[in-house]
Amino acid sequence: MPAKSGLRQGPTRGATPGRDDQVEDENDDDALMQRVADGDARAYSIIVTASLERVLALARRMLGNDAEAEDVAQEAFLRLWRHADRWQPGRARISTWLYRVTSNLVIDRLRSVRPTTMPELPEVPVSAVQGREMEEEDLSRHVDRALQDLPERQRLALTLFHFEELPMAEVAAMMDASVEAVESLLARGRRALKKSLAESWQDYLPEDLN
Amino acid sequence: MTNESIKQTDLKRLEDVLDTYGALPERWPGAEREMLLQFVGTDARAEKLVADARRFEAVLALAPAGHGGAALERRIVAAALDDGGREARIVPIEARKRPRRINALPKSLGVSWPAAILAASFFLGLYVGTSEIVPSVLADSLRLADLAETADETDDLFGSSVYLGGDREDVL
Repeated sequence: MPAKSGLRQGPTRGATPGRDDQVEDENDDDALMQRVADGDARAYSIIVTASLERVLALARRMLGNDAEAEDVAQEAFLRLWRHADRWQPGRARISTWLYRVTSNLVIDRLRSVRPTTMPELPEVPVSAVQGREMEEEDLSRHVDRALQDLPERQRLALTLFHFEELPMAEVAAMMDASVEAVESLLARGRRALKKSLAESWQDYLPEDLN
Repeated sequence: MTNESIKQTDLKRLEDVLDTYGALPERWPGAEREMLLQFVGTDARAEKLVADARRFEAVLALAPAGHGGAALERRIVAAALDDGGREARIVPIEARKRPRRINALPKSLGVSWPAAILAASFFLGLYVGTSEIVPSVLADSLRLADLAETADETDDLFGSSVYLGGDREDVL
């Protein structure tokens, strides 16, 4: 799958008379950010709508908690709003900036809170769970737990490269690491996940892959 | 080097690539992709390694990603509008293309420009504070003058460093 880049496409150019400038702006990060810098709330709303899912996914996978992920997402967008007047055209995409800020915010949060134990999983053996939906829900919790057990840099590397499908070079730049270092983090992270999930994942597969 | 030992080497390399880059060949290093794909096509063990990697990624896809939704979007936008460090300016799309006119209010209204701004600001604040309507709805129906913007005393947008740590246990 190709890496995501920039914001999603806006409406077809010329679809609405008199709105060509707006349509063009929606496909142009620099123009959008200029509008946000001018205080244009609509432009800001466009960015939020286009980017929220990715920002939230990154935060959720790193923090393992929906509420905290939403807090971090809100803070990331608030920073974009506050700092828009310092945006330098042609330097980066909005999505890249948001990924960086979100990564920093989650790392800050992980380092500032005391380690807490994950909620205990039900004692019912996984193999005894009835129904595909319950199995997937249970496995989802197992996966989440295994992900949260990873050291944060392995988790971040996996989240950015695997889940967010960012190019390797971009992940390395974002993590302030060499490509070789990121490769090592990815390999170790994935192997650790396989080991954590070894007893459960082999038996539970989405039906379309059977 | 025997044929089998070459295959063992390739299997090991394939395993490393799968652990690092995942099951999708388009994400494998370009320089090795063709060779590995050929190998997968001719060796049953290699094919199984890729199949197992795909199954594992299907499981990883079950990791919760959080759900945004319109309510969260509205909350995030509202937080910006309420932000004390900056003030929002709601600009109708058409107005962005026209030069600004200071005295745009018809004289027939008998309302002075400053008074109109004050009144509009009051009602806008009341409206935004009491409803969850996304500002984009307001942008199409309201006409407001520019409001003063207060710059934050913060670092340059690209100056904020990506400090993801060089002192963690994962650093090579």
